[in-house]
Amino acid sequence: MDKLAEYLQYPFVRYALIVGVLIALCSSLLGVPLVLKRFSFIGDGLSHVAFGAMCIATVLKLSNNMLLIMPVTIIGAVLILRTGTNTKIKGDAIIAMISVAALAFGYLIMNFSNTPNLAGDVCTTLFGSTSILTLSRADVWLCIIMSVLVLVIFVLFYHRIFAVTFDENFARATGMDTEKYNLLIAIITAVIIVLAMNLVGSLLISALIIFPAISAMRLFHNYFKVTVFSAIFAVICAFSGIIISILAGTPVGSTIVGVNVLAFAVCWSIGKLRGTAA
Amino acid sequence: MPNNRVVNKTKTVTDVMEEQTTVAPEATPAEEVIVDTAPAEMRYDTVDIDLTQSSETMLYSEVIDMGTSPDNYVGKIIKVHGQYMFFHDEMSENSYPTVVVLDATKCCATGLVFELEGDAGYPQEDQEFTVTGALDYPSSEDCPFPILKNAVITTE
Repeated sequence: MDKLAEYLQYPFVRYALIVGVLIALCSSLLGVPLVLKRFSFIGDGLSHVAFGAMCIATVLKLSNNMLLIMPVTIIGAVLILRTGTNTKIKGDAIIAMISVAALAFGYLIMNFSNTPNLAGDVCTTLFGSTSILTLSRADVWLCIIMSVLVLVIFVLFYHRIFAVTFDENFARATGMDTEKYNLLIAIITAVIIVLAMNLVGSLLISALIIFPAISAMRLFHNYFKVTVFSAIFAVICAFSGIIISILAGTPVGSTIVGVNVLAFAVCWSIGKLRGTAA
Repeated sequence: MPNNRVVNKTKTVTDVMEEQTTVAPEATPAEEVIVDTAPAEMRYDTVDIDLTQSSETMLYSEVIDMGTSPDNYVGKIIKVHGQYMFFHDEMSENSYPTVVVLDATKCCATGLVFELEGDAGYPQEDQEFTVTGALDYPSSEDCPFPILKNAVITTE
């Protein structure tokens, strides 16, 4: 405990906890509609698009790479959604295609840069490494603003997101512009993905979206309860994951995901005992 | 000077620095390495930040933080354990003795430049060692990095 108290005196540790909790919270809220809509892998696909954009930003030596990564990832989200519904190549295939293409081209482009530690940069981007513990004050504020924005949008459009998630055809029949709300979900997901790259890296982002939602679904069958439990689950896992990683010296992203997996196992077991788990 | 110091060849710090800014690190023969085996505490009564007690994740993050938040660290006595590297900076075209630390995934590395106190020498490339010194932020173009001044090193 003394060690933890000592570590908490460092501003960068406090920043990591604030950003980690906020990102986990936003990811978990979005995770519920995404999992229910069978869009679990949209996070994976978009994170690879973000990786590709980050590689281009690195090669171009942009001082603020977020200016490139954010719009490219949002465009990727829109493309995945639009192309997935309007062409013969359907959602999962489009996500897989864009995902691997962005990953491959990103790494290819990265090799054209003169960065002295290419392997390190790629590793950091893919697995997060300790980038959550090296955030500047500006990064933290950006994350807080974007997270608050996502939370406000989620609360404001909670009922519409709920309608689009559960029965899109019925929602469309009642006159709701479901395309618009699907687009909104995709854009918010893109924003969260870009922010979460700092926390767990682009390969592990899907865990933040999927595990809280499916863990909550093991215990509850009510949309509101699933959403609330998912948020609490994600915040506890992210917080404890960061604490464990700084105390034990383990990689932050992997530790957070590891805690999520263990917590899911607990929820699944409780669900089995209660007879609520599928 | 402690009795257990092993000195094969005596040089001044300036001599060593000048020589190492012009000669590739591989060119330094092993027999010229001067190893100070004195515990750092013998020179520094107190250490403000002992990074040898930190986890790998915190060690890496704290060293990064030293580069980005100088106000929190300037003048503090820092003790850090890592690998020796004679780092060549392409921007300034200078080379610096550096203690390199790795993150928990072992894929990312950062480090602190140090300047030895007295006539001590440097470890061999990639050798693990501990260095203690006062952190300074020189504003000169010759060294744009935070630097551990009056450093003493210990090797195992």
